[in-house]
Amino acid sequence: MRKMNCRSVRREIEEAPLGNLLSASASDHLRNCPECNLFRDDRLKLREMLSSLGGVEAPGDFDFRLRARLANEKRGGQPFVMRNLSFGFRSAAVVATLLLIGSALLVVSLRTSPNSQLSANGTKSPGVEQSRPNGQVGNVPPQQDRVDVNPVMPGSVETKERVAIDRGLRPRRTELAANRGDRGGNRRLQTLDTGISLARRPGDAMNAKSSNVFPINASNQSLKVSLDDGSGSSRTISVPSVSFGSQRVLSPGSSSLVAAARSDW
Amino acid sequence: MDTLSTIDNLTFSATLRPDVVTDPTSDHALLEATRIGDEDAFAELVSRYRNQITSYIYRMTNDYDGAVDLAQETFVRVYRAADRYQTTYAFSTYIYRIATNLAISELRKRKRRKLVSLTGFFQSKDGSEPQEFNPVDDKPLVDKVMVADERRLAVQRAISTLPEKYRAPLILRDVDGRSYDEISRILETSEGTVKSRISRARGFLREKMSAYL
Repeated sequence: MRKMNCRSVRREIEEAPLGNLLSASASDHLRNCPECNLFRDDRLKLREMLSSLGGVEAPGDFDFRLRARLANEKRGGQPFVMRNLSFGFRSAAVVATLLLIGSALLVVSLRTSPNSQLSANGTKSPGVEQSRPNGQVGNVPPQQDRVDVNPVMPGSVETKERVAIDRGLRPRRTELAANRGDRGGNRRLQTLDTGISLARRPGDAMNAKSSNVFPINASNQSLKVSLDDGSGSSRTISVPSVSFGSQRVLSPGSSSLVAAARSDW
Repeated sequence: MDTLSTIDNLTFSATLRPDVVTDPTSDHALLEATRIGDEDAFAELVSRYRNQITSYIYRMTNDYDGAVDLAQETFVRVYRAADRYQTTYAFSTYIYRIATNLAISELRKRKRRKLVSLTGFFQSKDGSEPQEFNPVDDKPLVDKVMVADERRLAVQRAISTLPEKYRAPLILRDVDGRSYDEISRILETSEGTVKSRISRARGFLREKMSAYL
């Protein structure tokens, strides 16, 4: 019974405002209970110490700084500061940034790697080109992607040549001569310096200005070209295969070049 | 509110209306005036509460400069949220709640940073905060002012070692002298919880301050 009284009295001591008198029953209990008396004295001293702490004053420039802060907010808003964000947001931002940098580095390394270009060209099978409609050369943006683009334009000068080539036939010289138009009667031997200009295939006459794509499926053997000036004398020229890096640009197996070499040079 | 665009537009040295200044229960009216753009009303609110809030946050954080910054942040938030203010509770409850949240947030940030003071080698039993090494000085003291100063410092350091959930109600009750009812509204807890926490906080302090009692 006494213990219960002690608890209730101590609770009353705890909750009573500083300086207030306790109830009569609590005062009676304190007279007969030295432990609760000690408890009250301890609490009283402690609370007096706490209340004696008093307050601190704000600095003199508090108003000015607050004014500046509010005016700054009104003018331009609060600047974006990373530390204003929560920990989770900051972590997510750092992870996203790292991923972005990593993917950018990966893309750059893939683009600059020589093997990547080779493999990219190697994957372009003729089937890819076959899927493209004829006559839509202009819709093929990267010229490096074109492995064997030699479209047959309906009604063009080269149509017959190309059809003959595609059938595996060699076009007759008379047909070629007739197709040459303005060069029809000129029998002078014409040469083409491939060292200073881009090599052109005769079949690409229509697209030469917009396309300089060469096949890469050339063998390692040199290219042999037989020239006939029309008067019966012929010469055979051996042209070594030309390559830029690992990519061969002249192909002896190119049917259009072989077909044209006899009369179109 | 939109009229405020430069520092000069905020004139805190107020020429306030007499009824607003003299009425002690007009915090709501001042905030209402602030809401419709009266900067003088806000200036009066600031002048009423700046010392109380700064002192309260200082007792919570034991860092004067940080307390001033947080007190300013408290007023900035009051100003920013003036449109959303509801007069359900007293303004003092409202502003103390903001200050308490800011102070507790700052204490948690510090805990994350794991700042260790040179004198805080001894951890408390629950591992929550470092305790100050506070040896008892047995030499005879010669000056009452010195005694009082040392005691105040010891009390402040002892408070700063309390867990935050005990610290806030103890300061609000025993330093600021607020009622249990108001404390429970500021801390958004029940009155029983507040009483219990204050009692436990005093028990902790009693142990730490035994040399001075």
